[in-house]
Amino acid sequence: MTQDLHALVREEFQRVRLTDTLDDVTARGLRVRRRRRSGSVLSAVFALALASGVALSLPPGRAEPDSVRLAAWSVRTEPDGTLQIVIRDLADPDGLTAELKRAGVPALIEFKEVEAVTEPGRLAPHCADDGEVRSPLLLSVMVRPTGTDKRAWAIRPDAMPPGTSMHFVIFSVRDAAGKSYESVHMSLVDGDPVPCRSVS
Amino acid sequence: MDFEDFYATSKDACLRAVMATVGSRQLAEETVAEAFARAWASWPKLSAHPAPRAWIVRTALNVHVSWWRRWRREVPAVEWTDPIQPPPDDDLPDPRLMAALRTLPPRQRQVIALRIFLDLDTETTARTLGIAPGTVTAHLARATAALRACLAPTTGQE
Repeated sequence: MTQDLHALVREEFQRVRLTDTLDDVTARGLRVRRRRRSGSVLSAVFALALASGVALSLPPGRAEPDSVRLAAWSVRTEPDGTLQIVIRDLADPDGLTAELKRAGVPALIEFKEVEAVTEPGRLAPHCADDGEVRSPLLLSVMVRPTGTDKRAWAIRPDAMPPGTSMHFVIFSVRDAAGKSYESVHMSLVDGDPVPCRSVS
Repeated sequence: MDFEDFYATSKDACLRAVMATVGSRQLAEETVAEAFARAWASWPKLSAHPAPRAWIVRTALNVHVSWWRRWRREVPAVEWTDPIQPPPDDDLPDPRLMAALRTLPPRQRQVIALRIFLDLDTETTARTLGIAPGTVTAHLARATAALRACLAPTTGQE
């Protein structure tokens, strides 16, 4: 009886098949290796800098190409017009704002460091309601990434109504226990975004 | 076994196991693909693993948890809805079965995934999940009973 049920469950899932080819997986595996190597290199560089007391700053972001692994961020336009944004380091938000504007997306990018109070029921850090008119069409403009890259987002400029702008704030949060995490505020606003006044 | 053979013989079973656990085909495809990519990147070491399929499923579930935690922390200005597009219906299991699986506690779903889809024995399942073999047996019995109860009207008519 039990075996019959298990056989039924197996049978129901028989048509479920992974469609990724071996080439897809190996290409992705190469990216995994590159991530690991760049992580190792970065760790070594930071360790050396700490040991020698040298101030270290990552280079500013680049519009192209994504293969420049040390860029703080990158913006790439896909053939279908979608902008792929990858943020690797919270640096040069003005440069990223300008780059998005050049790519046809009016935007305000802000990176903020905040201290959070961890209490039950408290919200994650967010922007105060300073009169910014937010559009529900955000969900059509910001495409949820399918990859697992940290801080990767996609924007569809063609889905932005005329006169709207993207407002994108990444909070770097340190809680009372000294633990760090990030919280992201995204909105599509009518007109120009109002600079974020953080509330935590 | 080289990676190519491992991938060809394991990919569908691993996808089914993860899909039964997370309840979404698209999420399962994404996390299983990532797990296989990581396996490929570490294959010289992983090929000696006693249960590489279990490693794939475990890694895919960890990727899913990391992904979910990251998105849960983010605070969109308007509510972020899940835009996942379902695949064609003819590739999906019976919706009643998926609904029944979703009613199970996560640990029972994991046991079902490893025991039924990967055909792992109780000991290997216990090691993979970090629980006692007796707990695996108990979870499997409870999950089976719950599924049978959910599916009984259907199977009874056939």
